[in-house]
Amino acid sequence: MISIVSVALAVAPLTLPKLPEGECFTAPFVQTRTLAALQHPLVLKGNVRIERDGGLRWEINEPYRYRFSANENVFTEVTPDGKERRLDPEKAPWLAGMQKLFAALLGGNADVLHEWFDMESGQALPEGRQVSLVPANDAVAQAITSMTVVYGDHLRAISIHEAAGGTMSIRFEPLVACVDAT
Amino acid sequence: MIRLPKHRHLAAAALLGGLALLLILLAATGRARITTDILALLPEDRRDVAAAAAMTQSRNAFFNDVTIVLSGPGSARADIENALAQLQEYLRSAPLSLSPPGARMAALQDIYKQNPFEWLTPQDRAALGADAVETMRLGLGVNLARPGNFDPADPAGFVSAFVTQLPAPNDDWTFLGDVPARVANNEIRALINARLTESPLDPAVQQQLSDLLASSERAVQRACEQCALHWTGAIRYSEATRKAAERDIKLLSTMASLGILLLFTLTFRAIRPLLVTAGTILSAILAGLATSFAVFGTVHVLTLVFGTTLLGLCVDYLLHFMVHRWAHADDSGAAALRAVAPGLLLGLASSVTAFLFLLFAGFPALSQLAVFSIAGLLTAWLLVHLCLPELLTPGTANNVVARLAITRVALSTKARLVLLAAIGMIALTGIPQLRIVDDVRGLQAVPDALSDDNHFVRTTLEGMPGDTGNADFVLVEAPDLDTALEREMQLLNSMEGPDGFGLSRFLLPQGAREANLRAYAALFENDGRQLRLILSAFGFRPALADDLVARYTTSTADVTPSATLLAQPAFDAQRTLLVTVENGVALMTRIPGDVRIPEQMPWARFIRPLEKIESTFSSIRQRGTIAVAAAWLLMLSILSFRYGPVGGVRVLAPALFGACVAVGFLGLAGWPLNIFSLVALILVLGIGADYALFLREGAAHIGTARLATTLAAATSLLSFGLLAFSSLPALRAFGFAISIGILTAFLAAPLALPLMAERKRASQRMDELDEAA
Repeated sequence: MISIVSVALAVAPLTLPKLPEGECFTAPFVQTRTLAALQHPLVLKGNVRIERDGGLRWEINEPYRYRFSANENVFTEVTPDGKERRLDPEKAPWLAGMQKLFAALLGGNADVLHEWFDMESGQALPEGRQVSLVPANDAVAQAITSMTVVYGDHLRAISIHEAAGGTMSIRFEPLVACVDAT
Repeated sequence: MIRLPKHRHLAAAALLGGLALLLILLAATGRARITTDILALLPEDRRDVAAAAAMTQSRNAFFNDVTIVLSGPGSARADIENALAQLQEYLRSAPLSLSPPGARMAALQDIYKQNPFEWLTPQDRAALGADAVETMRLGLGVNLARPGNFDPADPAGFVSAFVTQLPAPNDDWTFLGDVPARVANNEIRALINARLTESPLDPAVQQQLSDLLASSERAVQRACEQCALHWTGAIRYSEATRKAAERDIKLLSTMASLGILLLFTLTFRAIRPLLVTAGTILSAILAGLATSFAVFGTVHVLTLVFGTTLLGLCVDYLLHFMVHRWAHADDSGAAALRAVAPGLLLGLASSVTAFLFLLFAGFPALSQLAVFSIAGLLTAWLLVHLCLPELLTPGTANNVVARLAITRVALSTKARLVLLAAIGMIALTGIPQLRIVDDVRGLQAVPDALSDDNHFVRTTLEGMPGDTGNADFVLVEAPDLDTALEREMQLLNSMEGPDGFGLSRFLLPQGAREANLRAYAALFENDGRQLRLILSAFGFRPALADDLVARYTTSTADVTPSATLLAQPAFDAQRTLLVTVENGVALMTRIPGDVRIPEQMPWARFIRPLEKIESTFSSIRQRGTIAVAAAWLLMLSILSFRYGPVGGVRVLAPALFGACVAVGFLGLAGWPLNIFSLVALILVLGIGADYALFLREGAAHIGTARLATTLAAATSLLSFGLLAFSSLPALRAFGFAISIGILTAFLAAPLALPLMAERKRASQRMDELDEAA
């Protein structure tokens, strides 16, 4: 977690698809964690909500429930037992890092991603263009070996190769505008 | 009367040869070191050993630190990275040890992961203690669900949570490669913290580093036109002060030497008096150096500067002999020596008495100065007796010049009194404006470029852990390391506001780590049955549970002592926060904002190093003043014995008046009264007393005594007065105070003459004029 946490920096300009018109978008996703210590990959299903101003809600619905919300430097987490707790970003700076990284990935903000990664446009896949991200500094490299993202008209997939040996893949369904504006 | 050895030249040669040999031996055995560390002049604080040790440790760390900032606009990130690479390449050949903070943090994390169950945040420990099984289950679920990385060795993320609570830079900070960088206001500032591997006081090291950074700055600007390099550190201040002192010494000593050369040439019309004077001063410096090194081993550069200056006193001995010898060319050298010897002996006795009192003031600064000066003055006095009578033989033609000069230095008593009264009145107006300042930092010569760079670096450091913007700290004392860590944790937990910075944030005491292990106990009972159930439910292989159970069993069987952990290289940076003292240990804790230590924590004290240093300098100043006053009372007794009570007061009064006037003029000029002014006043008192003394003792030949005193005052003003034009504020104030004091004491010195002699003076002067004609 310190990973996405301490994260840091940049290279050549690369254009990524931005969020469509609108204030808030949501997309279901499937998060698959592969670890040598796991008998089978752990598959979690959930929903992400991204707001134009950077607000982020990461929600797991199956096989258990978990939610992480970040909005205007207020971070909350709902743990699997249903209890909500407020997190102090000063005590856990990874929160701000995680919010910033996922908001940048989902919002196609290449400038922010350049702060932490050397980015290279890769091959064209049926679902979109592949982009490779390699940590540009030691702090990020301590947690992430490399990252691959796929962009269609928006972010479709992320694959994170972790320094601890695991891999986390997240596949997103198409983004849709939020039903509620809150 | 002093009996002089028969073979005077041999004795003098033996004396000088012995001193030179001693100096060579001391240098060869490493007992002849010169330091520029002004704080080394302070006495050891025996009342507060722990605070003194902490301040010394903190100072030593600061002394070896070099902080470099490479800045540039946020839009030129790629150029800045190139420039940074260039800079790092250059720094590899510098006498610096570079330890990137990222690598330091990685090394610490390795330590934590070796025994992962020992490191918990207080919140996680409380939760595990209440219900270890449920807390682990929730932690594991959350850790797997968060879109972050997962480390099987820390499945619930408890070690990660501990690590993320460690002191870390604020959100403005990120990394450029392995270098931390502050990104704010569309500006990037990359920060390199390095430690010198060689002495910052070594001129060669100073030159090497500044040359290397100058070259790297050019390379940086080739790679990034908009970038700038800023750096600071004690080494740069030390180099600036040394170079300014060297420039001043070259310029001012050349000017003073030329002035004195002119003065001697006009007066004596011969080169030998000048050569003899120079030789005697050099011999006195040799004696001062050899004795100081033999006694102290390391001598401060200021001792040398001020000590050499104080040796200007010995010129007076030479001048009195030479003027008498020139004015009475028909007398033998031995007769001339006999005529001035009582005055010289009294002058030496008064100066040595004053310095002896400084020696016993109990402060290294004043002790070094006293030993240096006493050894130098004694040597000069001896050489005058051993060598001068036979070395100096005047030519007859010079007598006229000498006597004509006498006629031009006389001033009527009435005019003198009016002039002195006017000077005194002016000085009086300055007394209310006088400030006493014991913060000697303001007396350093700091070039604008260095001052700007230092400010730039300091503002860059804002937001870094442990940076409180000042040198203050809380000292937590305890009989052993673990108790100290526990106390510090207690102190930090009691503080409101921003988090403090201390060793216990990185290294938990052994008791706390044992408590953390106990908090996990329910999970690991029965070969980790509960842990295995939880891991299995999330789909983990049994091997992970086996590994975790084995680690836990090893940890609980042998909890690593705190001292063993602290000794590991990963804790190199944090180890500087620990101070070991005779009866235990102390931790230096930095706490931002207002610090109020709870009453129930008597083992914690707030230490303000600058205030302590100022208070020590103030103490030196006060005790130095008392020592000088006591020396004066003793001198008054000696002089009263010779001249009677009134005569004694009359001899000392001109110098005292000169010193008081100097103090008043310091106030008028806006210069503060500090330890350096005190040394100047000691000199004024010594020299001023000599003027009056020599006039009094030379009353029988008042013309020659007056000429000698005039020449002595002129040489003193040339030597010391020019210091008023130094680029070093400390020397500037020193030179200014001495010039005013000496001039006043010189003008007032004839008032020390007995009234009868004063009346006789006019007729004697006429006689001398007749002879000259």
